[in-house]
Amino acid sequence: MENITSAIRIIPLEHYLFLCLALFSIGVIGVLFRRNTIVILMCIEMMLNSVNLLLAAFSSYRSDPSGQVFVFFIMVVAAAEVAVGLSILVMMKRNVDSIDINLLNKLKD
Amino acid sequence: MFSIITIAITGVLLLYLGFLKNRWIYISVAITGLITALALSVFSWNSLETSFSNMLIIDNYAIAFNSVMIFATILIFLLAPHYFKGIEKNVPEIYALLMFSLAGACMVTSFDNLTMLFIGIETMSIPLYILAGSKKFSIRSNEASFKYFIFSSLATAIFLLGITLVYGMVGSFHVGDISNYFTITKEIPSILKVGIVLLVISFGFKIAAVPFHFWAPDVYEGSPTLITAFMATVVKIAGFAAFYKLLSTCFILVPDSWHHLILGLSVLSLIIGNLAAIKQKDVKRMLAYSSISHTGFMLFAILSFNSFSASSLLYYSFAYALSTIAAFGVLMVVKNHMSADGSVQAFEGLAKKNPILAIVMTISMLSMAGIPITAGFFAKYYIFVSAIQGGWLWIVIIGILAALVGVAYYLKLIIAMFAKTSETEKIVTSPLYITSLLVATVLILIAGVLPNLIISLI
Amino acid sequence: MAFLFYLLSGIALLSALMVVLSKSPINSVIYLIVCFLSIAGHYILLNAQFLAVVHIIVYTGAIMVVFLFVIMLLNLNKTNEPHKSVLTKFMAVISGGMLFLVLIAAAKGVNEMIVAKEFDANIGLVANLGKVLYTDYMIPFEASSVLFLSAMIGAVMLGKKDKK
Repeated sequence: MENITSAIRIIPLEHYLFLCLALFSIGVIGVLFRRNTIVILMCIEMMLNSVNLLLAAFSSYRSDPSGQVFVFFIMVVAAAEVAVGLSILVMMKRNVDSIDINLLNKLKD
Repeated sequence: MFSIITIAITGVLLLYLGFLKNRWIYISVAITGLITALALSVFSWNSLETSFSNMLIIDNYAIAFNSVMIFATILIFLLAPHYFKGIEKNVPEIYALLMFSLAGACMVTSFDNLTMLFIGIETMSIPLYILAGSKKFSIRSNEASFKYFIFSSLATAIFLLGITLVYGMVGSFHVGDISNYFTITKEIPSILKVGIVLLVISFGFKIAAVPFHFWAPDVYEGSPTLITAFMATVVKIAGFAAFYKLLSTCFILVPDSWHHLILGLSVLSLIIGNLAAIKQKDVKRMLAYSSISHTGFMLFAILSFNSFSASSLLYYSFAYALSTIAAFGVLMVVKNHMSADGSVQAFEGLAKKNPILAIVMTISMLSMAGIPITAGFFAKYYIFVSAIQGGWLWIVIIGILAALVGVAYYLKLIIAMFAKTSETEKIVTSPLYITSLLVATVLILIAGVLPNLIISLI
Repeated sequence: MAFLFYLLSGIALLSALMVVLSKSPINSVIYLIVCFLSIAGHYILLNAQFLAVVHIIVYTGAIMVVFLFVIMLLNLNKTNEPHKSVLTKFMAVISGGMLFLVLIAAAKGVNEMIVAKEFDANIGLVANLGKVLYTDYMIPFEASSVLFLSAMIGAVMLGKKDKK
């Protein structure tokens, strides 16, 4: 346990922040970059995960458990969102037979 | 607290009642539950309730907004049996999801901890993704559902990053601790400001303020009309109540970080919302853009922050909810009856055979445009007064100009209903449906004549 | 210890990039799993042991498996995804990069803001987290049951195959 605790002492919090922000930005790029909706969904999951890691890092550096509890709530919501999102995808695939996001422009004026 | 529990339990009850396959039982149980919740909410007036280690704080502000939202949902439920006539599938599920979404909306207005705000927003949104796609075989409905889902999840991710940065700097999710931090700290770290900006952006998505509005017209158009009415009223009001509360309780002391952003959102929403609404042919899309322009007006309350702005926001929400529900209620039947395209042409000559519908629509349009003796006039008046008190005279001038532009497209619809004649048939409606529309209309007029009833509440 | 941190960070970033860049969705899923596993490693480094376990169970074990199921079930594993125009891609990278730069610029000098006096090695253990979750965070915990119920209804309602 002693060993592990010292890991927090060695690595500056900034580095965790940089890592998480980089992961978040990669997620944003992925959402804008790809057309395959299922990959877009994965990129959103990645963004949520980077937030989770950042919360855990802040929580450990502050020795405050509420940050880690918040991570559980984010996991709950992520699971619920994925369940709903994938069922929307399944429904769409049945009707349109494609998950290309550019086909979704029936509603333009 | 008890009203939230009542709403959630009614939702669960509706799921079980689905086995009975009797649509009158669903609707009567749903409305009984909602009226009970409304009564519980109203009777807890003035009794400040903080529950379970300061997660929720149910003060008069929360009660007032909750009551408006529950009342709006009652009106929407009264429209529902007529809307779902002939649709057998999934009706109790849809009612239950509406209930759950309302429960989330009630949590959002009364949060005292950012955890609760997050859970509330998600509880409100996740049922809506499903409801937007509840017309399973309509490709437009699928598309609306998917668009809403993607943009909403993106907004959630941004929102979470904002909360995380705030938590990292402040060290707590609790609203009181956050506002304490800003009274103590003189030099605010820049990453914290970024966090606040991210929070404002994500709320911009949720309340559909320009430039984060692009999902709204598509989603409003594609979703089933009843759900659109719910989205445009309850969800938007909840978003505003939470946004106002978040900024006024947590971040009011932060200098120069979000005021300019709100200013930009407000002006852009007014200009783009109104200009885009003029050229729309489809009434539902026009109402979507008009809802964006109303967002611009409602942001004035957040911009000015004084003792008056909360009550002006409440009054605006009430007036806006009533007129939106009345408008979507009429649109719902007209769209079903006349060639189903819902364009302005479908409304031509409506006054001849269906005078009640035409009058309801006219009053709701006048209220949205802000013509006197309707509630919309005082709504705009109070929100302008609140902005002038906050020292934002020039933005009020933009607001008045935008309101004048707005009159143009609202009048277009009224003229189509009264002046033009075309062959229309009489639309048969149910008593519940007419009751809901008439209640909304009468309340628009009452609130327009006696604005003090609401404006003096909080 | 520091070496482990940088190794895990490198793996996480590389696999995250590969999620975006790889052509087939199945590969994306696999890379995302790698990314999540390295994040679990980070949790252990941060003394959040319970979180690490839950993260592996929920994300890698449940969510990613659901992704795989959907891809296989609907036969979505097509690699000939039509690509967005070069301009759109360019704009995507530029805007993402700008966001990153702004965030990084704001994040500089955070170390001095947070001064933890002494680290408590026990906060990430299940006993401690459970106590906080079931006392202070009782209401959000209950409220998330409503959220799960509606997600369940939705998944059944939308995913069910019914006749027109």
